[in-house]
Amino acid sequence: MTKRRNIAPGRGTRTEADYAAAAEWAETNIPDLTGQTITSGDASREAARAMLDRALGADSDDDSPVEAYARALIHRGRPSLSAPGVHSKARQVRLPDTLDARLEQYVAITHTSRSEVMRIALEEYLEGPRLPSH
Amino acid sequence: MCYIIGVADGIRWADSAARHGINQLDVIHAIVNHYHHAPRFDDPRSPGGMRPDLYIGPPRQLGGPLLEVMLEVHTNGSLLIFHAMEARPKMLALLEGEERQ
Repeated sequence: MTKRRNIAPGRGTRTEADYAAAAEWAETNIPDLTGQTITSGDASREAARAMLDRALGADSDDDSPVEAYARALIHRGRPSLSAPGVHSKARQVRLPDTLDARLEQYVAITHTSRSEVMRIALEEYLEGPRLPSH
Repeated sequence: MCYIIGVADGIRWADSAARHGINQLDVIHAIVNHYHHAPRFDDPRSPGGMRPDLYIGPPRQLGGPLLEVMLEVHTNGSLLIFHAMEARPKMLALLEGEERQ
């Protein structure tokens, strides 16, 4: 029986069967790369690292993607920020270039991580007198 | 610029990625330290019009056989790895030839 479990809900519409077919094709064919982009070297590896950092939700200055993934495999995530055994939620934040540049400058000077700065900034913001009184 | 705070479930594996018994950490290592990368290559024969990324890189063990890895990058930055095996000589020859051109 063909397996039709959707393994990428909300993050792609392909099923396990689709990937099985793609893997079968990959194993039995050599792709035609004529005229296509092939990258290598440090810049290419840096891009791959950034891709994995993003997928792992890791800071590139924390440790290597291999170490971060190993930890995720062993502990199902980094030591919890909330409580032992409690999964800390991941939040995606988009920053304008100017704010991102200021963040980069700050972490370079203070040797802290982007995540730590954003956590502290959010705590300080939420503790301020910004919420309307009920 | 986009950051994800905390640990996201952003790297997933199709069952097919385990067919050749390649350790997942070796796959990650091969991607990070790759020698060749064909981003979103377009082969009209690929099933479902898929345009995966192909990486050729080393495993963690020094001198170990190079690996070929195929994955899909989704728009939210998550990865779906569906192919990992020792790199075939034809694949290596192809990539080295394409790079020289």
